[in-house]
Amino acid sequence: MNWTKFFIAFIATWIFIFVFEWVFHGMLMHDSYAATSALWRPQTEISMPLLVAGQGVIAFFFTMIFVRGFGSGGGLGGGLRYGILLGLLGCGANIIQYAVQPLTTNILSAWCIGGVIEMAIGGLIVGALYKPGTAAA
Amino acid sequence: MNHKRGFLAFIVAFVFIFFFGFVWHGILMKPMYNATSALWRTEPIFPILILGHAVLAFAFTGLYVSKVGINSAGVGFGYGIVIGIFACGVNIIRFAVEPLTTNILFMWFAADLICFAIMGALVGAIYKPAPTG
Repeated sequence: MNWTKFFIAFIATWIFIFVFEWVFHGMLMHDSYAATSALWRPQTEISMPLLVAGQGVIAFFFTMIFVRGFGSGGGLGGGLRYGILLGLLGCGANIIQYAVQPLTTNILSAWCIGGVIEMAIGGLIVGALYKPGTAAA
Repeated sequence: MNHKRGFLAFIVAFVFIFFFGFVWHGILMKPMYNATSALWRTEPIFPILILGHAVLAFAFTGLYVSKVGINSAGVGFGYGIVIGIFACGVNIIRFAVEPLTTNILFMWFAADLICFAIMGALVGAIYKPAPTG
């Protein structure tokens, strides 16, 4: 395993997830969340360190699964397919959340579409950046 | 890819995750959800709940079959643990933005780790790559 490339891919994915979610959830979906405010913490109570830590855990294991799963590296195409499948996994969790929580269908649709796009781009980033180390002779 | 074995693994994963969720969330965690009832629907929408579990089981199995593809309960167990930790990251984010209790958060951590680890072991034990040659 090439730890240097892994670390670069992990950091790039973490930054991407942070920026994507800041734009997607913090700006694009702001009105949808405002309309269901009883379900969310008030802005002042949202824990940014926890939010960023959660994104870090996701980015780390997103990269780790790719690296471990592919071994020799999947490239851009492999990364894209991998990201779409993990995005679908997240979409399943979103559908379950919708079934038990009074979210709107707009929020559910946006989460599913946004989640698949986010993970697909994350897969492209990891696929482009991670290259396996040279095997010892 | 062995589609027959993959489909069988998906069905087993789906049945397992549904019953695990029923016991863990529907019975064990019921008092915790009652204490935060403003956050939840009074009754779940069952067809949607089942659909969500099916999508989750499909993606979980699909990822294993297409990217790992080994007939091994041990490898599947490890795969499930890593996916479980990945899901814990999602739980941390939910806790950061939703007024959940720490009890719920820790129970969700445990649920995801246990559920995905067992599900991974099941999928790994059932899936066999198609014979070559």
